[in-house]
Amino acid sequence: MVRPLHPAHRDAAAAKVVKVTVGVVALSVAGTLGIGAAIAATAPMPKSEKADYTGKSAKEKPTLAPAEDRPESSSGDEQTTSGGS
Amino acid sequence: MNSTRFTAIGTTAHLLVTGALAPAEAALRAFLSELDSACSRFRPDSTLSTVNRVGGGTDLDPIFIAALATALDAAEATGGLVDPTLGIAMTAVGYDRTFADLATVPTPPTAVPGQAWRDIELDVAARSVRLPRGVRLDLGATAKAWAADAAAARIAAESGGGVLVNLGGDLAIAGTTQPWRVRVTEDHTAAYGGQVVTLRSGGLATSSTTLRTWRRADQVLHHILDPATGLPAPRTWRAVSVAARTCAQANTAATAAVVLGPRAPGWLDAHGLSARLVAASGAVIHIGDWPSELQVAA
Repeated sequence: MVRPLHPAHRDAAAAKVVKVTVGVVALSVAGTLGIGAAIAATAPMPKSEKADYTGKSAKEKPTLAPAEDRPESSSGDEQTTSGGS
Repeated sequence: MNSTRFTAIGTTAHLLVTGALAPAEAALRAFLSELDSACSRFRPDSTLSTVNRVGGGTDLDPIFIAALATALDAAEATGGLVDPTLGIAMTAVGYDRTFADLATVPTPPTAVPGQAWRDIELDVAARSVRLPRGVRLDLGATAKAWAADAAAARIAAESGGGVLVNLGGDLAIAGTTQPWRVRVTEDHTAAYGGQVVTLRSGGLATSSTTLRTWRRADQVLHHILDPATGLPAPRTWRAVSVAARTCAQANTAATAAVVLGPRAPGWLDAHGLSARLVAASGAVIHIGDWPSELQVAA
């Protein structure tokens, strides 16, 4: 047989449910913010402009191209030397 | 014209500028220091040594990434004749420390072929690399030439003048297109022999089998390895000099020509490159637009 709650007990139980719900929601929000902050702190920094020494924006087919100005004979003294090292 | 010469990255750096020398020299010294820190095979703390130890990495030094990208371009452009995966082979033939510290070894060299360069995973944007298992990098074939290009371009942009950067015989020109007189010979420290030519742009590099040699058992070895065998390429040529759009391309072609041996003249000609080859006999061959040797009056 179902026995009706006393109104005072019923109000106290309802207040407890609200308190627990608020607590769970608050903890969830705090947890989400904490995880987000942790991810942001450990994510890699954006690459700096200095990072790209390759001078290529996209993959280009490598080539072996002749010089724009052909080498010419010279009778003067050299300014520098190209040789094995 | 102003110039300075100093020792760096195990060789001689020669800087020539039409403008102020001091800021250009400071920029070159700083850049070569960064290059050594990124790409040296003989520094355990270099980026290259770390990658070789652990097999890869992310957020790596941008200089290392650019040098590796150039090395892989060289491998692709030559069909693997120039190969950055010869790190273990180079150690196996005895070149396992700075050249000045090499000693004669009584045992013959061990052959360790390369040719694993196609399996290297490089992401330039993420600055990450992943090596195939058992592969060790050696960027010695191309890093110096790439550095000459990069340094010359940077100094020219900052100074607005003409610049020539020569790193152990691999030289790059940037800025104003004035003529630079260059002696082309077997040894970058020589002040005689060979041929003097004039260049206005691009790069020039020489690969030689008569320098950077050492003894192992009864053999005299040199540092240009054939990736197919992992052993020094046959001495068909004493030296190969190539002029190209960049120093990296010139160096790539010169190294490939040494590896190709007797097939080098046809290969260089097919690529439209100008080159000077000195055969083991001393005979000189010119390819493409390379100028003829001036005859000295008696």
